[in-house]
Amino acid sequence: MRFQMILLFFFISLNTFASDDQEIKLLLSHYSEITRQHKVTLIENVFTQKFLHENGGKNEFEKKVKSQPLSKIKDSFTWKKGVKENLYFAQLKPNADSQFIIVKENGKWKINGTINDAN
Amino acid sequence: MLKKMLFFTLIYPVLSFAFPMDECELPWKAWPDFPAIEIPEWPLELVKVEKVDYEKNKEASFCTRPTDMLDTIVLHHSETPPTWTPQDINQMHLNRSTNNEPWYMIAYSYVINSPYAGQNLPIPVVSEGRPINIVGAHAGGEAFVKPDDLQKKLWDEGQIICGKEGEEFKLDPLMMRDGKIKANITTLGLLITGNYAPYSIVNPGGFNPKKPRYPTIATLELVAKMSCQLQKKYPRIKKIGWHSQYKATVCPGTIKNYVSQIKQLTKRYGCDFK
Repeated sequence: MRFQMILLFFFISLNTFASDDQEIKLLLSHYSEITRQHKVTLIENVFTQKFLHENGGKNEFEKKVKSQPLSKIKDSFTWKKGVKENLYFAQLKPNADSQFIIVKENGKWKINGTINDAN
Repeated sequence: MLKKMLFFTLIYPVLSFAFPMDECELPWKAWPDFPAIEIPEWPLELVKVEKVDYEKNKEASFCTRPTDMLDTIVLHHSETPPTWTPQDINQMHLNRSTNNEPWYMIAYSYVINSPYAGQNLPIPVVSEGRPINIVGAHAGGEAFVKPDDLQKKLWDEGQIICGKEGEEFKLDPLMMRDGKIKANITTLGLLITGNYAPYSIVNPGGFNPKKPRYPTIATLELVAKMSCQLQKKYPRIKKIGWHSQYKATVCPGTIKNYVSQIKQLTKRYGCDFK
């Protein structure tokens, strides 16, 4: 019985990480669509309210997005879980210097800004 | 004249031998108790550095170094809003790991909280980061520099050692590669909170190119004073550099345009930086 419980817990954990992975993959592809293809309707699905507020609000952020040329580049990201908190750090491949901070907001993973990649 | 010479050459030594000084009665019994005077530490403090009680990851390893290893201050921006506190940065760094090895604590030695030019908040303040004798994690893990003679000697003597709290510290041969030493060992990281780089795919919190962000004069003064204070305490620190000199990064954004101005400002306080 105990063994079955452990196995069940193990599979639940695996499933949670797998679903986190799927969600983060989608989030980062949406992020790429915003920045590269100017799909600004996705902004609130991708960024936390805190991030948008700190950046002058959604409209101000839209202006920044549109200040860059449209592009068809397909981005690729890597990500890993935080050591002590329920958050993820993502990085644009191959080795960009910024770490995207991904946190849960109202049950959804969202980008809460970046932090300089100290190391 | 002859009498004086006779006294000092013949009579005085005889008298001194017969009546040594410690047997003479002195006009005072003991050295009087003068009240203690508080003498200001030299060099005088140019900047008040706030102490911060940081949480640390005791499972993480770190390296220690003699402060004589230090020769360069490296400027960084945090890429976060300027209101992020040193504890906020520490919390993020406690969540970071490299090759599955967690980080010990905040990666920088000093943190300056300061507003963007044209803004009032946060109130400028300098805080201590990780202790200066602990090797930082800021210049880039793959950044190596040529050590000078003293740095090489200290390395050869095995004075840079790594380990975990409560465990034995050992030399880590990976800190030296092809005669070059990790830049993190010879430098200290000075972080200015804020995002001073333009918006880009890797920096969504960056500024709109039409509205660039610059450091205030007060920020530059604070960096200059702090650099000078460090040079007075650790005279081998002779250089001020910035992150993008060590790895491909936009850090520290527009701050790097002011490094020569910062060096000029340090002269006011009697310092000299290359």
